[in-house]
Amino acid sequence: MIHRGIVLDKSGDHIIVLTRESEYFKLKKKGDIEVGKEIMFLEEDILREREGIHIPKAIAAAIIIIALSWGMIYQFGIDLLGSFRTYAVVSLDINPSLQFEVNKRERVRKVIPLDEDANSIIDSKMIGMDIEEAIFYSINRAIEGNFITGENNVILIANGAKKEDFNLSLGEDIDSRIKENIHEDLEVIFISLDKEDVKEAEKNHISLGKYEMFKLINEGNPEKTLKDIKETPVSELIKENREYLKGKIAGSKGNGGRANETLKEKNDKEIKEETKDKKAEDRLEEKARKERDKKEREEEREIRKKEKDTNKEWEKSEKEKIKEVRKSQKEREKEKRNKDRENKGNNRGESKKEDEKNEGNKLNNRVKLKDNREKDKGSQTLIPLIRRVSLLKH
Amino acid sequence: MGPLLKIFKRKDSIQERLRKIKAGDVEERERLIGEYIPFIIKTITNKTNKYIEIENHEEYSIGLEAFNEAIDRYVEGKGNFIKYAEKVINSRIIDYLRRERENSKLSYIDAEVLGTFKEAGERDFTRDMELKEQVAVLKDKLESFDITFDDLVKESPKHRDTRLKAINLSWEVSKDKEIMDLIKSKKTLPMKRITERYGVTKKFLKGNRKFIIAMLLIIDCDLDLLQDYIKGDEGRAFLDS
Repeated sequence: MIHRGIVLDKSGDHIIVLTRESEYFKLKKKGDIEVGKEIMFLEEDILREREGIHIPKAIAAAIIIIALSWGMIYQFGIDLLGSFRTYAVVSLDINPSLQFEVNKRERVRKVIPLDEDANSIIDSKMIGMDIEEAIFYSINRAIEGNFITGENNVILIANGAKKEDFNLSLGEDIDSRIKENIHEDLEVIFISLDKEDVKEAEKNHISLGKYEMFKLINEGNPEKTLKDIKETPVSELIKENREYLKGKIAGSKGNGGRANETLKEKNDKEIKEETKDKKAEDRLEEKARKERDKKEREEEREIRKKEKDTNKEWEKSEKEKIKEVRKSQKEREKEKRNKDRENKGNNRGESKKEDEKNEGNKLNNRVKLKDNREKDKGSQTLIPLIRRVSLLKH
Repeated sequence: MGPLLKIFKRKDSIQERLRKIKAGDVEERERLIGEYIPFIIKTITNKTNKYIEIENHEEYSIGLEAFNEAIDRYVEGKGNFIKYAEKVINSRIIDYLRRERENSKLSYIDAEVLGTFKEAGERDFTRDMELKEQVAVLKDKLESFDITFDDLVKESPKHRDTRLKAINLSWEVSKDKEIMDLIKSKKTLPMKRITERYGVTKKFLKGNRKFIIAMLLIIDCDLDLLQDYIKGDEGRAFLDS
């Protein structure tokens, strides 16, 4: 298929031409050519930007997929930076006893119920939560479920590293934070364990907190077995062994000191407690009711949000499908256009010369046109002289 | 019956066709040459390493003659015709190139002595100059609109119908003094006005804006040679289609 065009521009590796059909093409550079000259060129001389488009698109698509999957993975707290592994363990004992396994990002990757009641508190929502958030959440659930009452209001939070010497940012002030944000009548004991203790506790299938308690109580009271400790709610344990524990914790390691303080406070309040108990119970009950209402509302919100999210994901996949369809459509169109261009040559000949049956004889047509031009401008024809003689016969 | 036979005719091998031509079938000779013009051009440019100009196409004539010669001189059974034709074309073109080199040396001396230009056939030099100037003007005007020729290659409508629509729109808009003034002063298309007055969609204007602006500049800036180019002959046929 032969084309003609005027050279509009030239640069290092290509030239730009304008055809009679007002098409702008980029052509391979061939030798030197001046701007303004009209040239003949073939289909194969046209530089089309095809390959160049596909590759960037593929890379862009790849990046999007990676970004999306990264985002999703991160959300579920299973990110690739080794947060598949447990870096620390945090136990929560009230009486429901549960243990959180925490990743590098201090997010919960696993929750383990250590007794039956724990099952009612544990929720899959906890996975991926920040540890503090999870603790708060658990306490609230415990209140709702009436596990925490006026009498049973001591919460034992213990933490220990599993990997390296991971320092949880979970602070000792968790105690005051819980008091402020959840309920002032809650008592919190916060202990830290070292790696060996963590291992021991796990070996004995007991929570970190209770293990620590066991260690302390057992010293003074060897009859108390692990089982006993396991089954007794923390509040009771403390009450029973108050005196003993007071002394013991004062001398124990690290944050034990902090635990000591809490116990002291407890002692001071002891007198007030009986009177307070009843009030606390009422208040706690009220709180439980409020929590339950709040929860219902939250659940509704969650359901709506989940719907939105699945919609978004569905939209995303649909969009990607559409992109693919369009891509293949475009490719089909391009093919079609190329086919059209090839046919065009034949069609043009026929439509112009209706009164002559030339079966697409381009030569004749061009000569006819050229003859007309000749009369006007006196320039050379496309076909050399020898041809003109024979063609004049037509 | 006739048309059916013609279908069969088309399936003739080259050998068959050559036989017919040798027997005196002039139409067939013309048909064959016509079909092989792209091949001839490719062969020529492979040797000359430049595009064939429309105005100065001596090598093109030589190539056609060479192909014709090959048809006459080819003996059946002596190998592939196309390869033979290629050889003939190549040798004629090489001869031509050699002559040209010698001529240019001569004409250099001539120019010094006689002060004449080397001419390879009739040429309309004034036309050449003007066209070059007009292209330069177009390039310049486009620049003030922040459009390059490269942009036009990438963003012009590839589809025939769209192109026609855009060109026709440009001719219409070019007659509208108010809009043309706006375009020239603001260096952009007044989309709202154009869509209102000429019934095209905003999407159409947005997608083809650079092409339309270029067209408007060609029309409005008296770039008559360019105008003629896109209007004349094949261009006209295209526009009237």
